[in-house]
Amino acid sequence: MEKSVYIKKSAQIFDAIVVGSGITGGWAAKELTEKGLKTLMVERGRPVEHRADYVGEGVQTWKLPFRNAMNHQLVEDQYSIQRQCYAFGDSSKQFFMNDRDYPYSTPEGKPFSWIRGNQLGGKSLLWARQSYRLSDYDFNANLADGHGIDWPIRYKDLEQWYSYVERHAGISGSKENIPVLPDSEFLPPFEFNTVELALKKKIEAKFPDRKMIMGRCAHLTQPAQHHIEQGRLQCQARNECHKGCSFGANFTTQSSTLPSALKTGNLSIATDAIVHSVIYDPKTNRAKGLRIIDSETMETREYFAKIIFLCASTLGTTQIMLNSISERFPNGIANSSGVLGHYLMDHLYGSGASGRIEGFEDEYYSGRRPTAPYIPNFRNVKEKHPDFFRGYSLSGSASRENWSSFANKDGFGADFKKQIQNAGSWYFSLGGSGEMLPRYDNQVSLHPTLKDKWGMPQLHIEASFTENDYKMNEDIANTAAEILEAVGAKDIVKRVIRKNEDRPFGLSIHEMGTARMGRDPKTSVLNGNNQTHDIPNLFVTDGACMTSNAWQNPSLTYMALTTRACDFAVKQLKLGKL
Amino acid sequence: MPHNNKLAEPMRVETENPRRTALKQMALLCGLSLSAQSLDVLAATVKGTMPHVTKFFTPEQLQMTGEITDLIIPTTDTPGALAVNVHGFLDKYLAECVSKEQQQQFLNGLKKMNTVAEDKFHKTFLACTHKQHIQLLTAIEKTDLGFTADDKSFFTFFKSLTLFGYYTSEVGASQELAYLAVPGGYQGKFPFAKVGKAWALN
Repeated sequence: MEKSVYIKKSAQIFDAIVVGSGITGGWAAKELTEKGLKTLMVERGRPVEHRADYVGEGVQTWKLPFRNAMNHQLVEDQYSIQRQCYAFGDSSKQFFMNDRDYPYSTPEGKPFSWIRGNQLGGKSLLWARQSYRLSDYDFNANLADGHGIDWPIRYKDLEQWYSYVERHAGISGSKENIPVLPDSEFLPPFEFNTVELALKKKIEAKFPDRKMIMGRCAHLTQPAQHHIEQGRLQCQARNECHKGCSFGANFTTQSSTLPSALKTGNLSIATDAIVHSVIYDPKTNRAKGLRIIDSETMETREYFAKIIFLCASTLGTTQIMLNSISERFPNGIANSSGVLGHYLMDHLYGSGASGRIEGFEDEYYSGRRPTAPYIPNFRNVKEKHPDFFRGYSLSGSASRENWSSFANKDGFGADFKKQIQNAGSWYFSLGGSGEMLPRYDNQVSLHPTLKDKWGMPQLHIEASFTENDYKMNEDIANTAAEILEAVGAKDIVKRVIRKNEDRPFGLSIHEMGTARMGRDPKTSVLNGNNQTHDIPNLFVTDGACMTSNAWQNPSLTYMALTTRACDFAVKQLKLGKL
Repeated sequence: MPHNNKLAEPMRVETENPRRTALKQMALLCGLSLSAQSLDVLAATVKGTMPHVTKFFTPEQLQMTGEITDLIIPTTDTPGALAVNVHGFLDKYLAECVSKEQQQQFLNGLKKMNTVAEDKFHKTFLACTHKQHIQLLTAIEKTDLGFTADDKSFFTFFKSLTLFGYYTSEVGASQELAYLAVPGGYQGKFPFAKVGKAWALN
């Protein structure tokens, strides 16, 4: 990257500041710079150069001192939360935040796992890349059952923006015409394996309301010309995306949005800049800039701009807003409603079932597919389920046991070694991703006394599951088992999450909703354009904006909302309204 | 870039043969200064022997661990656990990567195997014959001969570490199994016979 892109001090008044460089920060920077705005991207963490800084990529296990495991004490001391993430390991730890340096508090009995990135590119370098559109079933959900406030937008408002981000990012999948899951602009889907194809046939014959499709994901299965021009290549099915992908085959800030933003010549980047607060100008009722702490020198600095986009992750953004105190906003900037920090949601993962599939010993697969078959929601679509509101998806793949499955089997010696070499039985698993209801009590606030080493007040996170969640978890496990039984699986094992400690809130890494959109400034922070009701030039487009949870993986929706908000903001700016 | 781009903790990638490192450490202890070339020669000649510098095990525990790993994954048409130094890896791994409780569980398990060997065969585990070793491992899986459920879970732990150490080694991953670093894409219809053995990476 050009040296001149990175800045430290600047007296310049930028057209726009984007806080954060993850999925939404990257998109905001791309959109605003392409629309001609001189834009400053502010990132708390260090720079990560595409390819050059993917130090764990392609390193064979035997070249790692502990084969991707890590020193126990180091993990205990510095990564006690991050270690819970499936993608955490020796070869990816550089893309996770250090828990010791960035503490937060939770009440007794209500654990919350806050998984965070701390670098240019944020969690776009770590995300699982599942990409699904929401539908009007989701945008209508709160209004329909009375939980939460109504979304201020509908599917038609977002449809073109979904298409827009999908074409650029590259989403693989199949056209299916499923009402609850609108089709995207697709690159070819990944293949099912032989066992999955057989199961798909059985499942769809037995359950007409359930369709098993290939999981849609932000991978270039067949790059288009504009992807190649971005320097991106076809996915190699290594499934080691979280170590960094030099092929640029998955969507990340580094592979996709940052190159576009840099090409405009309008982008500046300030890294190692922890945002302390947004500076509010009471005379104009505008956000006029940011106060930041240099994470390396502890110096404070200010940056100024005409508009500000907060894309610092759901809780990162909320923490900044809560810490932006003024006479007009004593409880956080743009928080006249008092709902900032409330209505925190995450998805219900962890419940499901798995079973052994007999036969198919002559069949196998080649490559490590970075996605899995997916059954879109079928609950509370046509008729109300007696036990709970909202719905869930099921996903899971069929695969053969590998060496790691054999530790739990009896046996040793030459025969045992041969069994492992011959690959084990086929197993098929289905795990749920369930929707939570927005609840005022699931909330974050600034801790009254605790601060981190830079002097930022720590976030206090108080969130727990409710009866609706537990009943849905039961249904997910029962339904997954029912499907497995129907396809003739053996040795079926169910897993049900029954308490907070079984699987902490937050660990699905879909935390959202703490600065929600809504029609009424008294009950929401943002309007239908992701603009704060209170301050016209302040926007929030990360997961904090979500009015309801939906059951789909959310990142694609964040991308679409961001591009739509950028379009609105630039038009308003040109009209002199911001 | 006007920036000190420091990774908090750069990943350590081992570039040196562990045996060579051990020799170098030994040489230093003896006040010798060995050239790179003589280290290579020495490392080659002592091939197959136990590493001399341990981090976790006593020499006897190391030898016993090596013996058991090789009972689980013996040399067949490819090298077994002992030949690829899985016990040497476990010495490092147990020293650094597990909790104190797991360390203790492991040592207690080894001790119990010795106790049962003494009770049943009146000698230490290491002094037992191959046939007796097989009897002991079979018994621990069946919780027989005085082995308890706790002992069995130790053995499961032992086995998981052995498989981990072996199948993530270069020989285990790329000779015994099929190692494909860059598959080039995903093929869902792929006969097992085409590769003939399990993938090292799933």
